[in-house]
Amino acid sequence: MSYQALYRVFRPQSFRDVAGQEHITRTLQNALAKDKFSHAYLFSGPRGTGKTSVAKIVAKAVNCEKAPVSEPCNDCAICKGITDGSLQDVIEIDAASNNGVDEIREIRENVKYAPSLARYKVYIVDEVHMLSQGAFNALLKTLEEPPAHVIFILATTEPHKIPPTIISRCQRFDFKRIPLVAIEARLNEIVEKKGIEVTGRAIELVAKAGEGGMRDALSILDQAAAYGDGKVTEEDVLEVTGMVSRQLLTDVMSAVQKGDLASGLQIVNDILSEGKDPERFLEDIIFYYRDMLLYQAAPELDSIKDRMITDETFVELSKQTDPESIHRAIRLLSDIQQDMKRSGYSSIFLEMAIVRLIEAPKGKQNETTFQEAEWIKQIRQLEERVKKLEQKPSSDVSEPEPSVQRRLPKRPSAKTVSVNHQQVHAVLKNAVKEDLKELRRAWPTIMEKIRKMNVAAHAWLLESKPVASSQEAFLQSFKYDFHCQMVVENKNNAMQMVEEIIFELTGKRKKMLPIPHKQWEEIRAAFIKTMEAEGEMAAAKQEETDPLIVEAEKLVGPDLLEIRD
Amino acid sequence: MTDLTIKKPLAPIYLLYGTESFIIKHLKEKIIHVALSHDERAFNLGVYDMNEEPLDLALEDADTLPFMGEKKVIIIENPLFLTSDPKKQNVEHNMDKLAAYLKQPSPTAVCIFIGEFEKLDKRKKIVKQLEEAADVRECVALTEEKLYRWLQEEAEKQQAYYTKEAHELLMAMVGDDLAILTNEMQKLALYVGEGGTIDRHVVEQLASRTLESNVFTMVNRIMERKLEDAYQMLEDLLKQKEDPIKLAALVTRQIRLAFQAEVYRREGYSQSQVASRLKLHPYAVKMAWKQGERLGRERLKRALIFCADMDDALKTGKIDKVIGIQMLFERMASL
Repeated sequence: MSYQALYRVFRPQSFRDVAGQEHITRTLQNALAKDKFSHAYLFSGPRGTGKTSVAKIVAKAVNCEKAPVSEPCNDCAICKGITDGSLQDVIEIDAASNNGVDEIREIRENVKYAPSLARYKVYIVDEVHMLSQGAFNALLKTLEEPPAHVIFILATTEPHKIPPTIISRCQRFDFKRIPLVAIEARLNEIVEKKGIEVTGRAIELVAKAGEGGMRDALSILDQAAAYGDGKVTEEDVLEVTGMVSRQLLTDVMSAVQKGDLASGLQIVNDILSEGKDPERFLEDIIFYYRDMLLYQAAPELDSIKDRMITDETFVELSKQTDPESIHRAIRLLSDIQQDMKRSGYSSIFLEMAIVRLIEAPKGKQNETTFQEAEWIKQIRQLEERVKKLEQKPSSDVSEPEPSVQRRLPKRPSAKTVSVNHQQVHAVLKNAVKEDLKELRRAWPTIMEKIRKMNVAAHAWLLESKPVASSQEAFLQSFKYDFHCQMVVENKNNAMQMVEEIIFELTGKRKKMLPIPHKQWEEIRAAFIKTMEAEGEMAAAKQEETDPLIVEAEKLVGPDLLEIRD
Repeated sequence: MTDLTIKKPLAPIYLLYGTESFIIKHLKEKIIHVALSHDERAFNLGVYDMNEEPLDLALEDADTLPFMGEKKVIIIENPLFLTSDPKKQNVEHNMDKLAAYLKQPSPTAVCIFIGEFEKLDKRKKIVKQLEEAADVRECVALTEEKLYRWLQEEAEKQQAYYTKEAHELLMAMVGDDLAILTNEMQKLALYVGEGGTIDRHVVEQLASRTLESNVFTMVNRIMERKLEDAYQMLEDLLKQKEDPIKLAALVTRQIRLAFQAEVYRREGYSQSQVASRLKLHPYAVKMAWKQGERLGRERLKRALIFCADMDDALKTGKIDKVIGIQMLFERMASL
């Protein structure tokens, strides 16, 4: 006979063989013994927890020649027929591949006919969550009034995908993840029966790797046994499950813990030269920190057992590191991970991650969490607001116009934007070249900040630029009147936003005076004329406001610049 | 309150309507059970859907004599002509004939009008006549006390006892859907066996939790600093392929509920007032109430801030979803 996988050989054939589901088997056994079983069952639970096995055992128990019994005899023709799948009355359907209405309709047609040999027709529908909406509706009709000779057993790993109308018509059993000890016990039993030799904590590792599912655990045992030629050692299991590669990870982590940058980078180098994916390795580091976090709070958690078994450093590290710095490390690494995905040089980011991890404890004060950063920002904003309020009374006396202007916005004339000529002239008169330069230099940063805070405001300001600045205020010229209008009306607090950012960047509090480009040109021309008339340095003014020159200045600095008309 | 008993002699006409379809179904089954033996069902039970067949047909059937038996049962489904539902019906129903039948129902037939709608249109003449002639049962959701008794009876059918404590836990875990509760009760009764007692422990072991109740327990565990349990529950839920973002949102919702309940409690509101204000089921409020009381406003508020913070981080992709939730748990537990 050809080789059969362990999980098929050792599929439980009676309730007492089912591992870790005592509450379910007991209920079913009671129901079967009293002949009080339901006509529709829903078995839900993670894979490898025994849903299909139990379904088959139920099918056997109801049809067993000795029924009503609480265990199938596994000896009569019917039990045997069900075990080897030859009995026509127990129908197994994989809903993943038969998910349409037509397949379910076929079932509906067929349920009417009495079973051929057995007492009950048992339909076992696996992966029932894969059914289409229409198929569920078709099934519903059958479940509502099933013929007396039919039993439905629906099995699924994802119960939340089953419509409530179906659930309410079934007796539902939730299969639980099989506890580690129960898997271990069953594995030991099987190992003994099969005569497989095991050493060390191999069984424990296999059980863990199964993650609560018996089938996975048995597959791993199977693989490990094949790998070790009938003998299973701890190392074999580690090899088969890929846990062995963790040594490098452990080395990196202890280098980080010791603050040993040189060896940390050396290991990274080794990893990269081995052709490992840096993204993957960074992820592994993140998960390592995650597991440390879990371990600190829940040392008994099953899912971190393997680390505890294979990695002594892990337990030590977890005990040495405080949760706060783990949080910080995860945040830091997650940020780097994001950057890494967008960059072609992922190996550099991995190295950077190591450097920053080692340096992080030193720069503790600078590292803040999202939350803290948020608070600090809020405090700053409040501080500014207080300052502003303090300034207000004085500015109100000296310049009553601005507040009036701001409260004017409801004016229906959308075409002409109101410009306070008095203020504009005041700015032009007191314009300071250095201030404008500073403002222009800061402008890209300002826009960047605005974009983060408010996309709409950013859009309005996109086609605008500062054209003149005095100590107290600056002129902002807008290419389009509409944009200017929006800012003047102070939609989304755009003005304050700009003013506050400027304050943040330059430390100067300036009032913003939006002005449409056309008007600006007119005013400027008029201003220049008056200036010329007054014999003042009109040329300098023009030069200052020429964007080309300013741009050139930005590039090379004023010292290298020679301006010729 | 719905009268759930069906006794002999049966009324010639029954009208079962309301939103609790499980009770309607239950009453219908009971009537059929009393009227017909199992073998008679094949030829003395007629079902007419008023969306597809005219009423005439059903009444004619009622007037003909039963075949090989004493009674026949006529079920008239979807009698929308009793409601104010303006939906145009493609089948014409003869109201005069019904009025005549109501005055002189066939002595050998039991007609059951079954409507899964909320209200009758009591202005209609035919409704008034029907109400007079028929045994009318309005099937609405059971009150808490009735619900407990209903489930108790269900347990007693299998000679099992059902404690009040277990009832509370069961409601918390399963919700208030009567059909599901009844199913759960049959399962629990089978588990304990004859003479057994269904207590909290049994319910805890065997009842199928809803996602909400899972989240509720998870939040409790976090706040009790039993992170081991919380992490394990989270893992189980993720294994069922629940979406991490959804879980994070539900955890946040639960904390928010507890916070709201606590704020209202301090203001002197009663549980039922809170339920109607927040438009929530009384059970959900009851649980949140207890949670809020135990955890206190300040802690909940801070937990809520953590949740909001993490929500942002998760949705902007700043952090792996599962790790993010685990970090959130750790944070909240350290409060």
